[in-house]
Amino acid sequence: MKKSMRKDFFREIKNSFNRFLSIMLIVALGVAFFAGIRATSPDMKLSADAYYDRENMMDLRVLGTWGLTDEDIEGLEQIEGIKEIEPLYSYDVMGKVTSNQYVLKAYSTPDNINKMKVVEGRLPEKEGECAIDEQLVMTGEFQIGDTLTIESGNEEELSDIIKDNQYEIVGVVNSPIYMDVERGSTTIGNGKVNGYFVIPKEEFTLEAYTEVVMTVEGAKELVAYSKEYEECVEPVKKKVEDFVEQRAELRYDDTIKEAKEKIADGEKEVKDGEQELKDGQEELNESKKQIEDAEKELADGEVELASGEEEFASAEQKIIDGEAELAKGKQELSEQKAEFLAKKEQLEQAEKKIQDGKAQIKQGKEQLAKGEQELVAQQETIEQGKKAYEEQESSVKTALQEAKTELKNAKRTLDANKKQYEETEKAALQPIEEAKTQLEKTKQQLDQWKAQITKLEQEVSEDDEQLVKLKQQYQSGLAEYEASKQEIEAKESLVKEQLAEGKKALEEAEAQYNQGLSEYNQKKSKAEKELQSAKKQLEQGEKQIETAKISLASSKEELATKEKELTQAEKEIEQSKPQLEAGESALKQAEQTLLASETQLEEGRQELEKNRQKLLDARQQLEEGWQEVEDGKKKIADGEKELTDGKKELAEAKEKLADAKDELADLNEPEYYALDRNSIVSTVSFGNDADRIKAIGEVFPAIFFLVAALVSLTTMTRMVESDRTQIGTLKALGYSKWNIAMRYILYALFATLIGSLIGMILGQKIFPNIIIGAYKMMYQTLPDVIVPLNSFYSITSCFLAIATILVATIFACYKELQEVPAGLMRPVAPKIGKRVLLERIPFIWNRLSFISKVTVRNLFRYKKRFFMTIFGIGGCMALIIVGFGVRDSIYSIVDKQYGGIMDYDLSISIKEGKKPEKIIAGEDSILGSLNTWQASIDARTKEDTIEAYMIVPEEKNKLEDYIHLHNRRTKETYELSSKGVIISEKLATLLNVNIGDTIVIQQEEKEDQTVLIEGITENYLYHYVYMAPELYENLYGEQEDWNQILVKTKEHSSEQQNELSEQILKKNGVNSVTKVTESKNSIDRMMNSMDIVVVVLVISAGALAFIVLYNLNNINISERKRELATIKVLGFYDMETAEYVYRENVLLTIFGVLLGLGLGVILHHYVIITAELDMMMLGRDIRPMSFVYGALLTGVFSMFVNFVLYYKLKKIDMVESLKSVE
Amino acid sequence: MPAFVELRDVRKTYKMGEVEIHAVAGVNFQIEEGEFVVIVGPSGAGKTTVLNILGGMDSATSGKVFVGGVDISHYGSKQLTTYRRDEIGFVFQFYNLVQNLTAKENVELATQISKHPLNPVEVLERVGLKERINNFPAQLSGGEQQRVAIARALAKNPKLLLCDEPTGALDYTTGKAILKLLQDTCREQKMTVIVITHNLAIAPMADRIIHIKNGKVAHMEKNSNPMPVEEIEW
Repeated sequence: MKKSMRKDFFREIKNSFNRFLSIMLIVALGVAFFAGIRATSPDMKLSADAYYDRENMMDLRVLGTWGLTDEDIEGLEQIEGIKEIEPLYSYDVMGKVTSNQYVLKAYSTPDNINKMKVVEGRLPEKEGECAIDEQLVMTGEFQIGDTLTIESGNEEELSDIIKDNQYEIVGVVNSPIYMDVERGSTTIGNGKVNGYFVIPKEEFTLEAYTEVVMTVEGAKELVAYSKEYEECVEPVKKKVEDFVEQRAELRYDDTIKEAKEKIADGEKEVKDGEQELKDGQEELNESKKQIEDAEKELADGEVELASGEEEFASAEQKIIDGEAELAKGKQELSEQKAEFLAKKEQLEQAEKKIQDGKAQIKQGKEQLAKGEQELVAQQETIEQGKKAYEEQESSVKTALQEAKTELKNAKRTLDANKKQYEETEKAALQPIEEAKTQLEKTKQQLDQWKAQITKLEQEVSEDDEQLVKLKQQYQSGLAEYEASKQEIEAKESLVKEQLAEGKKALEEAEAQYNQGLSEYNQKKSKAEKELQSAKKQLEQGEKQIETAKISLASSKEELATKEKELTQAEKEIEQSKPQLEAGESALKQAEQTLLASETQLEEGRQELEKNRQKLLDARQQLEEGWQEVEDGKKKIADGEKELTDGKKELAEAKEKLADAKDELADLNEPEYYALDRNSIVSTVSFGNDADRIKAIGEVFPAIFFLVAALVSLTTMTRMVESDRTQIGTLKALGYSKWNIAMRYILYALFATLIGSLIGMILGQKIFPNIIIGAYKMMYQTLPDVIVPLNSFYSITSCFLAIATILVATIFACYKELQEVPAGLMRPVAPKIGKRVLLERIPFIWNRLSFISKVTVRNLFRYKKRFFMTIFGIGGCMALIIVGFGVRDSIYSIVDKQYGGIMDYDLSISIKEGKKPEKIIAGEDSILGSLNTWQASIDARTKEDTIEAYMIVPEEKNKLEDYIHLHNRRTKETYELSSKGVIISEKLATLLNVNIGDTIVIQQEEKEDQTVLIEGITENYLYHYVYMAPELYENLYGEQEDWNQILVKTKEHSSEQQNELSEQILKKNGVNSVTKVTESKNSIDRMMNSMDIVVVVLVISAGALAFIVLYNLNNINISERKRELATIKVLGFYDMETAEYVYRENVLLTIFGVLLGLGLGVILHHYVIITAELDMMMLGRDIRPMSFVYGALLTGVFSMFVNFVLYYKLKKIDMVESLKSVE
Repeated sequence: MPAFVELRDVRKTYKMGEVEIHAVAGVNFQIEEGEFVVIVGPSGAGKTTVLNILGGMDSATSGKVFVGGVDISHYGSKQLTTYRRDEIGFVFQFYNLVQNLTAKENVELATQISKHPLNPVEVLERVGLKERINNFPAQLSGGEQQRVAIARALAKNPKLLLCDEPTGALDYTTGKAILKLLQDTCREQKMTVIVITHNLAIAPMADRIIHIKNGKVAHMEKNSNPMPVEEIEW
């Protein structure tokens, strides 16, 4: 490209950035959708592959009807291509934590293959521990720490399968072989496995392994589901198949041989047993006879013993009476003795009291005498004290008087001294004062002189004589003055010194006096105090003596009365003494009599004791005899039992032998199954889902791509058209066609390249994440979503985008480039106005307003734009409808399945052989119930086999109250008849059968039966085959026990249902109760993932609508700029100008919505059919509200674009109208 | 008699980055009602800018513009639109007919929004297009298209008819016919008509000639004796 062209090119991009951006965005959107949705399917498989590799998922497994032995495993290990091998146990049992019984699959803990991921807690490590399926936790009944109680679900003893029946839950796990919610079917319980649990291998008591899982060399490196993977595993699978086939034969032969030997041994054992039995019978009869004799002897002995015992009893009575009398006598005696002793003691006590009283009186008298003596002594002391006090008082007073006088004298001397001192001071200081005055005068004169000198010095020269003289005079005067001054000062200081001495002496004397005075005062107060206290003591002593006198007098009186009392008591005692002595002798006599009778009694008792022993001995002998007889009898009974047991055993052994012989004859060769990952349900369904997404990826991106191409085409066409003059100029200048076209091709290429790169990356990162995220709701164990850039889809999408846009661009350039320069320079002939078809219908046309006519004509004038806009809006509408429609379809499962089809509230699963009537008896809240038999079966045609539930009601007429059977299309309702079955719609679709065709029903352990299809009923979840009880009896010979009760409650409320189910679960014989509301809720939860898909679609639709509308309108406006400017000049207001354009847009939106409606319905149908899982049917209808939402949202998007355009319209310059046509 | 149209020191300045361009640098003139006015000047003299300001398609940077005694120079965009709608008829050099509408419909486009419109058919008849009422622009010749454009402008019953080089895209004869139509309209209906042209030859037919040069009125003359169109030649 030339330099100027290049400059022009980049400026073009800059100036028309909106246009550049719109091409880029539409391409980005198209590529994002194309690459993103197409990459989703491989991304799903990659994510699954990463998960399988992480848990080291098996590639192959072998199952066997006889289980697998160590020899099997050793042999398998030898097969070339097998990388790892691991045997494991599994068995289906019934288990529960609370009241609900669940069907559970017990697994041994995997070591290295099919590793389980611990979600919570840990794996079981020791006996009695287990880890459970994550899905079981969601039932709300299983938790870590709970105890899981299991029991066998069939005739096998649990101990032959698993050691314990109780396991503590220690962990929650998930497994790569159970990615979704399906857990497979079984022959126990209701036929559906609810979940699994793992326990250590050692906990299993099974004889042989149930399964062997293997990985294949090199398979892990390959992507699961890929062709390469299949090709890697297939040959190894073949080898394994060959090996196990051979093993089957071998094992069969070994078993037959072993069994025959065992049977021979058994027969011999039976014969020996029969002989033993015969001998035993004879021995038994003999011992029976011996026992009878012994019994007779014992009866005789018993009679004798009875008479001896009677005699003994009467003797014993006599002794007992004697003893009672003796005891009575003794009692009396001891009472009398006690009385006597009490009296004696009283007497003694009284005597002692008298003695004590006498001693007291004597003591009191002594004390009294002593007290009187003391009193006299005290009185004397006080008298002396008084005298001493008086003496002391007078001496103290004299001493004080003397001291006072002395002090007075001292004071007088002191005052005289003071006066003298003052006078001396005055006399000494006066001459000094006078000298000082004189000195002062001299000084004054001297100063005068000095002043004179100074004065003269100023006046006259220094050498003046007078001055010298005067100076000398002054000098001498000054010296004199100084001398006398010194003298006076010396004298003064001397006098002052002397005076100071005198004063000091005076002060000392004064101090002495003052001290003396204070000493005197102290002495005086002390003496006075002492005197005071002495006086007080004296007075106290007097008072004490007075009180002592009074107390002495009262003591004397007391003593006298006591003496009198004592004499009286002595007299009384003397009188009572002879009476006491008589009593004492009487007591002694009575005691002697008693002793004699006691000895007599003792002798009698000893004799009795001897007799008793004799009797006891006899009794014991008799008892022992009886015991012996009893033992003998027991032994005989045991012998008899042994004999019958032996007989029974023998009979059983014989029977077993016979059975064994029969079995041996019937024994089939064991069957082994070598299976690959296609035998794992969740693995297969995940693969199917991935393929379904691929199907969706084929359609949706195409819409976006088509729109992208169309939008780019119009945009580029417009660009080329607007450059018409420039193209002509360049051509005239001599640029080649190719050179000129390059500009547009590069422009488009640039935009497309950037757009497709952005779209490719964002699309492949965003869409797979969202879609797989939604699928993860169903495949909950899938850990991570892997979204690598897929090179194939990246390249194809980018290439397709670039190629499409380039072709569109070249197509747009082509026409202009063909014209000659001169033609290009001329303005393009404006498009000729034409009458539209509508004008030919005057009936309508004439009724239209002028503006409407203009609008209609404009609409059909730009046909390309017309169709593009309709298509863009239609696509938007269709996408929204599909989004909402898919959601509607899925919700219809809940609404229709549990609203209109399954019309019961509870389903009770009961144990085999239990009576349904007993279980629901007495429940008031039950409105009605229907007994059914339900089982998991396989429905088969020549081509396909599908697993389904068979439901056989007890009364076929009542079924319609609980499950409505009707055709979805024809609305015809069905009733069961004995001629054929009614099957669910999806089952019919999958088996490709119709009313009037037949299917084969395959039941475990039963013969296959071919039945006629009488009706196909609307049904959304799972597959069902409904059969009348009469037909079942005809086909299978007998009716099964009812195992499911369908129940309707009176109020339909969830509270009542909960209450009822709790009540029922308490009853014996109930396996589980399923509430319809609960099933509804669990599906509701699952469906939440769909809302994400709806949002994605609505947002994409909005983006599509916006880009298309904006782009096309942009072109529209720029094409009609002149027209719009003219209208403005004519005086159209801004809003009127906008409406001029909007009216067309509104009409186009309406047309687009109508087109989208049809397109949406078709697309929705396609999506539903491809996205459907096998086990469910999605609703085929879209709710009317979804159409309304779609139309409204589309309208909103369209209005938004109009709103943005308004500003663009406003900006149009009226001057455009003056310019010449380009 | 007061002036019907008066421009007082009207200026229009465009800012192109740093540079200021004075498209109109102080224009003053007065026009009386019912006059046929020709504004002449070389290309780029500012004729069109004056016309735009007068026609309410643009507003002056400064100065006053009186039309019918009302000052429109301070009008906002909405008022200007109303002004265009009710007072002004505009004839473009390139007719600016809506291609998708017939002659009658193009006239109707204008009449349906104005206050006192004339009957579109009558107006078309008056401009001599009775026979071509239902033809699309592409089916009409240049002169006929311009007649439709004039009819569209007249049908609004405006106070002022502004024509921007109405003969610019037409041949001599047709151009003359159009000018005659304009002059007749002016005379017969007392319509004030302002024609902008660079063709000086047209000037003698006007009542008033305004010469514009470098964004200013070079001079203005009143022609008391305008020539009929037929006598003008160029």
